[in-house]
Amino acid sequence: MGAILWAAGHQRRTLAALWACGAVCAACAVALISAYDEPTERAVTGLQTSVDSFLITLAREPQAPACTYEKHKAFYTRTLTGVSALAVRNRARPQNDLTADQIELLDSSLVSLERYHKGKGDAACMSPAEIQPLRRNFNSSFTAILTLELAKKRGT
Amino acid sequence: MALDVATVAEQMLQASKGVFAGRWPKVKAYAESEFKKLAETLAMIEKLRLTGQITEEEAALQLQIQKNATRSVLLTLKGLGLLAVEEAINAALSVVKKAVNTAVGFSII
Repeated sequence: MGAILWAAGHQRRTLAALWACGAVCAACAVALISAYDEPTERAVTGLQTSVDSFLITLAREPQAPACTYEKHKAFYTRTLTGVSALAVRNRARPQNDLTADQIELLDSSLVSLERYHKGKGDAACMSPAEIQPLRRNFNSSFTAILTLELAKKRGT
Repeated sequence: MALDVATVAEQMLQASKGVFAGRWPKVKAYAESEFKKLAETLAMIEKLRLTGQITEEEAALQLQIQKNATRSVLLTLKGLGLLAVEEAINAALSVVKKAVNTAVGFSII
C-alpha cells in the first residue's frame, strides 16, 4: 500500500515538474536586444534627410554671408532638439543601449559640426572638399543606426 | 519515447550553425562596405590637412566626427551579432521543444 502511494506521489511530482518546465520554456523565446521601433526609424530617416540636405546646400553655395553659421543657427537648434527627443525615447526603451549610444554619438557629431561651422566666422565658408567627408561620415552614422533598427524586425 | 540527449544536442548545434551561416554574409557585406568608406573618408581628411585646406582644429573636429561614425558602425555590428546569437538560441530552444513534445507524446511546450 505504502509503495503504491509513494509511486502515485512520485508520478504527480514528475508531472508537475514537466508542466513547470513546459510553462517556463513556452515563455522563454529569448530576446537579447530591444524590439523594432517605427517612430525611431522615421525620426532617423527624417534627420538624415535634413542633415544631408543642409550639407549639400552649403556645398553648392559656398558664398558668404549665405553660408555662414549665423545664417544657419536655426538648423542646429532644430536638429539638436530632434536628436535630443530621439535620445530620450531610445534611452527609455528596454534592452536598447546600443541604439541609445549611437544617438549620443550622433549628437556629439552634430555638436562638432556646429563648432566647425562657427569657427569659420563671418567671412569664410566650408568648401565642398571639406563638406565631402562630413557628408560621408554623417551618412555612415545614420546608416548604422537604421541598419540596426531594421535588423530588429525579427523573422523578416 | 525516451529523449535522445545526443541527437537533441546535435540538432540544437545544427540549428544554431544554420542561423549563423545564414546571417554572416549580410553582416560581412555591411562591415566591408562601411570599413572601406570610413578608410576612404579618413584619407580625405588627411589630404585636406596635409594640403593646408583645413586647420589643425578643423582636422580634429573632422576626426571626432569620423571616430563617432566608426563607433556607430561597430555598435551596429555588435547588435547584429547579438541578434544572430538570439536567433541561434531560439532555434536551439525550438529543437528542445519539439524533442520534449515528442518524448511525452503530447504538446507540453
